[in-house]
Amino acid sequence: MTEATELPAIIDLQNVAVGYDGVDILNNVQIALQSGSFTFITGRSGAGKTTLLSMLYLVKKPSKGILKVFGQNVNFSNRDTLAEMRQRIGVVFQDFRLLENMSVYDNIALPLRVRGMPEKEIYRRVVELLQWVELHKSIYKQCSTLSGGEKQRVAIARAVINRPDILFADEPTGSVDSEIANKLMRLFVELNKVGTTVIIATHNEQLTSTYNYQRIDLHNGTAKLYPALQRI
Amino acid sequence: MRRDLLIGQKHEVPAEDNDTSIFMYVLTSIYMYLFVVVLAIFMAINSMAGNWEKDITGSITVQVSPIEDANKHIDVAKTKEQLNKVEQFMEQISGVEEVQVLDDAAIQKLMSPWIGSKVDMSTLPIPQLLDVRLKPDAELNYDEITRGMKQLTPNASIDNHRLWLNRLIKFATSLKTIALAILLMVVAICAFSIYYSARTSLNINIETIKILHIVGAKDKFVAKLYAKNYAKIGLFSGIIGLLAAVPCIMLVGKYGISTGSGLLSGASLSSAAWSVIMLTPLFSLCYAMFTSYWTVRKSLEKMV
Ligand SMILES: Nc1ncnc2c1ncn2[C@@H]1O[C@H](COP(=O)(O)OP(=O)(O)O)[C@@H](O)[C@H]1O
Ligand SMILES: [Mg+2]
Repeated sequence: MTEATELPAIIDLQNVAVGYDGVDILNNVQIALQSGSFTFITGRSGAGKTTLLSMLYLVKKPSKGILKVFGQNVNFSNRDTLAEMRQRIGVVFQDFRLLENMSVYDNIALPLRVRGMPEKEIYRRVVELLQWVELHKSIYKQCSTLSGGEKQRVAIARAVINRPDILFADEPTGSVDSEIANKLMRLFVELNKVGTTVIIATHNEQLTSTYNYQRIDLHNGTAKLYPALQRI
Repeated sequence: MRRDLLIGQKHEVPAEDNDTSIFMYVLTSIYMYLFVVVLAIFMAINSMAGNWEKDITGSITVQVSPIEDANKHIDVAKTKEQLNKVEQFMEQISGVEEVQVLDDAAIQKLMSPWIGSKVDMSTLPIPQLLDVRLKPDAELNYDEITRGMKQLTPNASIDNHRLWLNRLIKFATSLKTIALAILLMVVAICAFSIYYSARTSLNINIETIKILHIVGAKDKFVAKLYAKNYAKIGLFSGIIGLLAAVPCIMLVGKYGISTGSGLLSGASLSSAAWSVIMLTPLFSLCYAMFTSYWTVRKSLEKMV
């Protein structure tokens, strides 16, 4: 539990277990993340990074324990409340998960349409954001025609169009060269500086040693939080 | 033109089930045609039976034929006795308000066009009549009454026309029940079709649904997308079904009336009935909309 003097955690895991079909991948996870923090989730391939992440972005439910996001107990939240919480969350998937037969514009507009924002406002926001990810020339291109790097930028744009309170990214540097990886990281740092809580799952050791942030290390079926600077 | 089950406005959300969608348009159009035709039949039978009903409510007439003695003369006393028995019998039936024996003067008045007014009625073999006034909405079991009366005297009877109409009304009622059952069946099959096609579409589009879910779409957002499209399907099929059904109804109506039968002419559709028929596309719009909305809401709870 967090102490009364500390800031309330934006994500709070209390004795949490999570897994598939009754078999837990992670057990006894006891971690609190502060609002505005920058966190890596590290661990070998198959350690459960994607699994933990999908629980945190509210697609999987914990099998044991209490998960609180934005101070709300996920187990006691109804479907509409969970949807509202997801609207405050942005996710960049490893495989992007774009709607391939739709345009760049429509993909990025999706989180805003879901909230019922007027189309005029959506257009203004999407165009502005496309300039930031340097895709304004491809606005009406169908996503299936884009390169991997372009798709990733569309995925990032879709994740941040809502100005989310928490941004998740699963192996964002996995399929790009180190130059683009650095560019991406600077983008995430930039977002973190304006207050977004950033959580990145990666098995890229170089990344975690270059950028000195706290990290959750997954090992032997449990998770441990290591603060920045203090290295194992 | 794209007619996807999931797609709202142009490319709001994509869907990959064009074929299912076209199939649904065809299927529901056929259902709606059936629905409108059977509905028209139902209402026609209803109005016909209603007309018959009017004929047999209010009052009935019971006649008691005069009883003759061995010399073929009318036994006035015995006839009177039988008449009183029948009167008492009718009075104790629930649903009967009042029984009145038409006296000779009244009968004479009825008969005067044929026999003049200077004849001694009691000597003529004219049946004695009982005017039986019924309570409003009384439903009499005519078969049972006839049986009871025959036990008293073989000379008493309810007028034929009435008995016959009563049987026809019973027949019409069973026809109405069948028509109603068909209507309900069509409505139920329609619901099942919408349910399964919406479920199928959700399954085909599961990846899209999952992405919508992750970006924070509430169930009602997805359900509304579907409802909008099924509303279109409902309206379109309702109109097609109606357009196909109306000529059939008119044809049957014309044929029925041209048989010249006074009974069948009561089968025409009132303007109120026509309004109901004209409103069926609206009904199918709402029905398809609500059924799909409900299906999607229920399915999503299990899917994502
Ligand atoms: N959908 C699934 N069903 C069952 N097991 C799964 C599923 N997804 C992942 N796993 C298992 O969970 C473990 C953790 O996987 P994952 O979270 O993807 O690890 P990481 O992202 O760290 O590589 C692995 O053993 C994997 O086989
Ligand atoms: Mg992974």
